[in-house]
Amino acid sequence: MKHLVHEKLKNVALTGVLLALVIASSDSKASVSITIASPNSTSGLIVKSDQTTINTSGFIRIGKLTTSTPDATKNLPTYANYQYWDGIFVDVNSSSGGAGITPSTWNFNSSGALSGSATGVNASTFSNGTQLWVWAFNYGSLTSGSTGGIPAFTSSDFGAGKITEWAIMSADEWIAPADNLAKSLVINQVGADTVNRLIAGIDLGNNVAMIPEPSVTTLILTGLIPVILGRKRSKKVAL
Amino acid sequence: MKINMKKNLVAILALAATPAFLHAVDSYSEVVGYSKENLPAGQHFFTPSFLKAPVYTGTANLSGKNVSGISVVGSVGMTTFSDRPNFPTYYLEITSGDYAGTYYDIDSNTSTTLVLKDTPNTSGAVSVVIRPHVTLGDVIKADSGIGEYSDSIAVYDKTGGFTAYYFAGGVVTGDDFSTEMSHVPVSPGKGVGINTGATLNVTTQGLVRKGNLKVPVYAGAVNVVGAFNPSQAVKLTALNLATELDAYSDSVVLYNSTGNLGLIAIAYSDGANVTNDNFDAYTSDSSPSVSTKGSMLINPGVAKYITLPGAVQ
Repeated sequence: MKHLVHEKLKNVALTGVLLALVIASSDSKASVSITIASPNSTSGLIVKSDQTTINTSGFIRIGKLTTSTPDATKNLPTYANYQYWDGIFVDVNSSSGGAGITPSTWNFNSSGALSGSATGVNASTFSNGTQLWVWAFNYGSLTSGSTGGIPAFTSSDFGAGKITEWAIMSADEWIAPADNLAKSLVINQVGADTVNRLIAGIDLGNNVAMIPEPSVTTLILTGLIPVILGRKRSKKVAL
Repeated sequence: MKINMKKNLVAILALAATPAFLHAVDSYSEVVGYSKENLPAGQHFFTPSFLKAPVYTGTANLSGKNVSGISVVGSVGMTTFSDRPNFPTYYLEITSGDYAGTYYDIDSNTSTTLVLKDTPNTSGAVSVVIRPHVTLGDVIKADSGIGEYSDSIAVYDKTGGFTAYYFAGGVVTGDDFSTEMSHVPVSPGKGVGINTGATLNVTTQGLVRKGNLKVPVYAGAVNVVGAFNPSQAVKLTALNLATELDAYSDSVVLYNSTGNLGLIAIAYSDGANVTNDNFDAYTSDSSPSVSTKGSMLINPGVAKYITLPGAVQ
């Protein structure tokens, strides 16, 4: 009889254990906070390809990639490449990102600096050890401080006067923290890694410069080359 | 008795770790301590283990949130910044009766009265002590090795959320890296989450606690609770967890202090003993411990108090 009582209690206990493990493992509202920092107006910046500051236009996205082997050849800021990166980029501000609240300060300020935390980021989607990435644009803005503030670009958003430059980067130190902890991303850390995590951008030491789209001028010059070669070839044939 | 810590810091720590020292200081109320903990690069839950000197020790009359019959000089209420969030700076601790060891933040005061932020569980004449809070600025200093703009400190609230703080320009800041937040309090017995890129040297000092402290923990919150003993690790079985935790449901999670938050143990109560996650009772020999640099994460089903014995009884 005593044995039966013990077994019964053990069953109750096991039920208790399951409930308790849920409590223990989930910590109820497990989330993380992810912050980006520009230490000052000259360091930790993402700047334009000519090394001038972004100066209010443009913003950044922070998230993770769904692949560990992104196609680094798709690094130029074209709409086709945007579609590729948008397809593998899970933003902290997406629904699966846990509705981390992206701060408006992730738009560039007048000195080109960034700051602020996305809080409430889903600690399951961004589990401890997840590599974090920054995707910076020279155009557009976060429309609000709430979920859904990330603009969805179309092909008409690319080209002169719009998206002409971007940067895509990570750093070895940019690892999502454990539940209920915070992580700050510092641009200065990009480039000092043993693994190349600067997909699109130029490491300037303390800053990172965006890379430009293939410009209209470049395309024209590129297009002239076969014409010139063709003319020379034609001339040889004539001789 | 006050030990001159400037003259003999190492000796204090060596003596404090021995039972003989603990016994020897039984009759004294003001033992001063100093501790330097090296937290390896990575993630930690850390609880400061010292108190600040009291500004009032004596009797008080409690009536709801109102306290009378005390004597203090100047403000012991909330900070009054206009350019940053304000926080309590002092707390009142009850030191007599059934609720000895419970503490309450002070909202405002006159020289003889206080208004508390929350209502105590008791009323009438009690013995109390009023102390300043330990703050983030007391715990994280410029010479600690903390990484500016990158390392973070998480402070948890009652509801399951937390606020992250950073270090920039030589001070603790908010997430704008410019608003100083050194004044954020760390309640007695409670800890913070630290994420550091390199070894962090956390140096704390102050009064070693005498007598039990009752730390409130909340359902759904991240309750980081330390052993509040700067000189030695404390076995879970040496605490009152067996009777204070709800049997078979409330849990205590212990992580290591190497920086990876490796799980040491998940402990429960069976109503009479602290147990492992198979509900086998721990003995004093087999019980896991809360280290001087570690903390417990306590997950209760309902709000309650966890009693921490003083490092000096």
